Amino acid sequence: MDQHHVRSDARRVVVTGLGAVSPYGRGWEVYWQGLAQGQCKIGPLTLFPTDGFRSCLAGELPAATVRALGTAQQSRATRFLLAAAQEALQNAALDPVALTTAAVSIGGAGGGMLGVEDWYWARYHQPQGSHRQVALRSMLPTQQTDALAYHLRIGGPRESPILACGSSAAAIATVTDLIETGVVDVGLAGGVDTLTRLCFMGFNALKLLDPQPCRPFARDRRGMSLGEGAAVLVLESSQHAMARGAPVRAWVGGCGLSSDAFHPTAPPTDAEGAVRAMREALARAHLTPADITYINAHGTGTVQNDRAEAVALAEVFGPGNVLVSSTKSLIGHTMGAAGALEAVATIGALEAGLLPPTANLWEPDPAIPFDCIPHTARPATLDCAMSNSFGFGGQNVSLIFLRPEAAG
Amino acid sequence: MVRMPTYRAVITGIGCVSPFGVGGYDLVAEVLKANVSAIQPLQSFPTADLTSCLGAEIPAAYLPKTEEARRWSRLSQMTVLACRQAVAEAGLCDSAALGQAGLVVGSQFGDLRSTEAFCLGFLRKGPLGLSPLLFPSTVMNAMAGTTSIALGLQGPMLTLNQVGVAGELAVARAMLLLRAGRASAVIACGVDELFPRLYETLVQLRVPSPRGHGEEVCRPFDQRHNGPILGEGATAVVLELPEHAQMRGAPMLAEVRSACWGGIPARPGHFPMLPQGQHPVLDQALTEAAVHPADVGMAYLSSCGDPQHDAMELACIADTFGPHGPLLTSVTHLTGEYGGLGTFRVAAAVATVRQGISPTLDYLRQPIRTDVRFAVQPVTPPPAVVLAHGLAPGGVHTAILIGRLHDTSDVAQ
Repeated sequence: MDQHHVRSDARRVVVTGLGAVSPYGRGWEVYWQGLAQGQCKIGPLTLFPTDGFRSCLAGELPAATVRALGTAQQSRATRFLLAAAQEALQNAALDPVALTTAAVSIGGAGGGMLGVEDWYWARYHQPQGSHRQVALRSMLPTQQTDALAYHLRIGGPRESPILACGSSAAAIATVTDLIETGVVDVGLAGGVDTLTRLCFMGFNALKLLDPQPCRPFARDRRGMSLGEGAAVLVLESSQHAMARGAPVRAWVGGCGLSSDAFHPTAPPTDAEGAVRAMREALARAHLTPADITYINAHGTGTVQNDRAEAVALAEVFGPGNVLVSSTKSLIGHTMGAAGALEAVATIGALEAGLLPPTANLWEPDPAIPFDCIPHTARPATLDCAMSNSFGFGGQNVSLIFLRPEAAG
Repeated sequence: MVRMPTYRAVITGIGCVSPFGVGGYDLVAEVLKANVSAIQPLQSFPTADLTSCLGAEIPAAYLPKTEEARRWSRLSQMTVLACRQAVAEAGLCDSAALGQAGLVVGSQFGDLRSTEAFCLGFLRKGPLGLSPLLFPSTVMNAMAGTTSIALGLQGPMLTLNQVGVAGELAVARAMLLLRAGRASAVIACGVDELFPRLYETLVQLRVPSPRGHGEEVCRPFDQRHNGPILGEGATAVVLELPEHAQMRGAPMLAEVRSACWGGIPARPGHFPMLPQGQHPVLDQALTEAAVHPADVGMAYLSSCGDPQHDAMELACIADTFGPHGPLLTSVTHLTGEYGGLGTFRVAAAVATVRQGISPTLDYLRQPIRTDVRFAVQPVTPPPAVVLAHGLAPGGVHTAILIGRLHDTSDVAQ
C-alpha cells in the first residue's frame, strides 16, 4: 500500500497540544507525573456495586476531580472529554478561529452508558415509575464528540471511531490521515471512556478481571483492571504549526492499522495482525525497528494478550531489542481512551527522556523476552517511540512518535 | 480548461439486506423502480401500547441460518450478508485483494439488542447470569469484527458511530483510507436494526411519526410531515482505486467523484443553525469533483420527515444550488429511516447515474419549499452526476458525488 502514501514535509503531522484527565486527576502534567512516579491508582471501585464479581478494583477518577469538571447536566464522559480538550487547546495556544475548519475524531466504546445504566436499572426494578430519560441523550459515543464540537465550535470533519480498546489510537490515525492528505491543517484527536457496569460485567464474564491490581507481563498475571479517563491531542501540519510559531511537542511518525480476521476476542498466537500494524507504522515513518527505543505496550495483563504482544514485538524488533512498559498497570485499562492516554504517555517519555514503568511486575514472565521496566521509571535517551493498541474484533493500531529534534 | 477531480474511486460491488430482500445492484435498482414502500405494521414485536406501530422490517427468512451465522448477532448477520453480497458482485471473493481490503462500518445504535440481553442476564441472575458470548456484541465494532473474520479481511477496519448519516460517513471515511494509501479496496457498510426496546424508547421520546399529530406516515418535504418511520437494513458498497479495479478486471458500476464530510457545530441531538450561503462541505465536494452545481442532476437527501431536518437540509441545498438545482428525492418513504441508511442512498445514486432509475415522491402534495425541484416525475435522461447528501442532528454534514463512468476519460472503461 505504501506506494500510494506520498507525504510532503509540509504535510507531516506534529503534536502541539496535550490534555488529559486520568485517575491521577485533571491535567496532562498530573498524569505524566503520576506515571513517572510509578504511582498505581488502581483501587476500590465506588461508582457502582461490585458484589459477586471477581474484582472490586478499578482506576477511578477522584470524586473531587469529577466534581470540578463542569456541570453535572453533562454526562461523566462529556465532562472528561471537554476538560481534556480545553487543556489541549490551551497547551497548543491555538487560536479558536482555527477550529472552524479543524477536524475532530474522538474514539470511545461506552459513551455515556453509565448514566443510561442508571436509567435502565431503575426502570427494570420499578417498571411503573417515572424515570428521567435525559441520560439517553448522551448514550452514544458520537454524542460526546458532538458535544465537544458544539462547545469549541469545531467545523471540520467529525467522527467517532469505535475500535474497542483501539478507538482513540484510530482517532489519532484518522486526523493524521486528514492532515497528511491535505483535507485539513489542524485537528483534535483523542478518546474518552468512563467506567461502566457493562464493561465491568463483560470482562468479569470473560474471567479477564484480575482480583488484584493488574500485573502486565508478570508470570502470575490474571487479567486486567479497568480504568477511566480522557485524552486529547492537538495535531497540525508542520507547515501550519511553524507558520504560527506553535510549540511542537512531538511529531507523528506513522500510524499502522490492521485486522486479525481471526477471533472476536482473542489474538492469534502468531500475532500476525499486530506485526503488520507495527510494520506499517514503521514504513510510514520511514524508520527501521532499530530506530525505536521504547514501546508503550497495549499490555492489558491478560495471559493471552501479553503473550501475543510479546510474540509480535519479538518478530518485529527481535527479542530484548526494545524497552517495553504497560501504563495500564498504573491507571487500569481505560478502554476507548487508552490509545490517546498512552499516546500522551509516550510523548511524555520522549520529552522527559524517562520511560514510565510497569507496576506490580514482581516476577516477570520468562516467556516475555523484554525488559518491561518494573516498578520504577527509567531514564533513557530516545528519539522515537511506539504506542500499541489492540482491540476486540481483532483490531490493531500502532502509532510512532518522534522527538522534535529527531524529526529532521 | 477541463478540471479533474482531486481524488476518485470506483464502486465495483453493492450488497443490500433490506425489507425488500437480499441482493446487489439489481435489487437496489428494482426497489427504486418499483417505488413501493416496505413500511407496514410491525410484525416482530407488539406495539399495541405505543403511539406508533409502523416500521420497515427485515423478515427473519432473509437472514442466514447456517451454523456459522447462528453464532452471530442479528445485526452482525445483516452486516456480513451485505458485505458478502457486495464482495461477490465486485468479483473480490477468494482473491488475494480481499485479504488486504479495508472495512468501514457505520452505525447509529450498534447492537443494542445484545446489550440489553447481556444486561438482563445480570439483572435477573446477578454475575452468574452474564453471558461471555454476548459481551463482545455489546461493543459497537462487533459487526465489523465479525465481518472481517467471516470474509478474511485483514486491512484497516473501522467502525464509526454516527447519528443519522452513519452510512454516508462510512463511504467518506472509506475514501480517506484509499486516499491515504491504506488500502486499494475498501468495503463501506451502513447498518442498523429495529428492536423492541429501542423502538419503544424512541416512541416515548416522540422521535417517530406521528408525534401526536395526525396520521402515522413518512412524508419528507411535505407540509404534512410529522416524523420519520423507523426502518432497518444493511447496505455495503465496494470502493476501489480505479487502477486496482482495472488491473483485476472488476466490473465498475460508477465513480465516486468526491466524498466530503464536516460538521456544523450544533447542540447534540439538535440540527444546526445554518449560516446562510456557507456550506463548505457541499462547496468542497463540488470543487473536489470538478463538478459545476448545474451538472448535478439529482440529489438523494437524508431528510426523513422530521420537520426540522427537512427544513434545514432543503435550506442547505437551496443555498448551494439555487432554484435550478438538482431534482430532490428521498428513499426513507420506501425503506424507513435508520442511521446506516446512507450507503443505500449511495447505492441508489449509482442506479440513477447508470440507468436513470430513481424514486418519485408520489405522496408530495404540499411541499415545504417551492424554490427547489422535487422528483415527482422520473428523471430523464439519466443524470451524469448525482449527490448523496446527509445532514444529521448534532451537525455532521456529508456530501458524496457519484458520477457515471463514461464521463471520465481516465477511468477504465
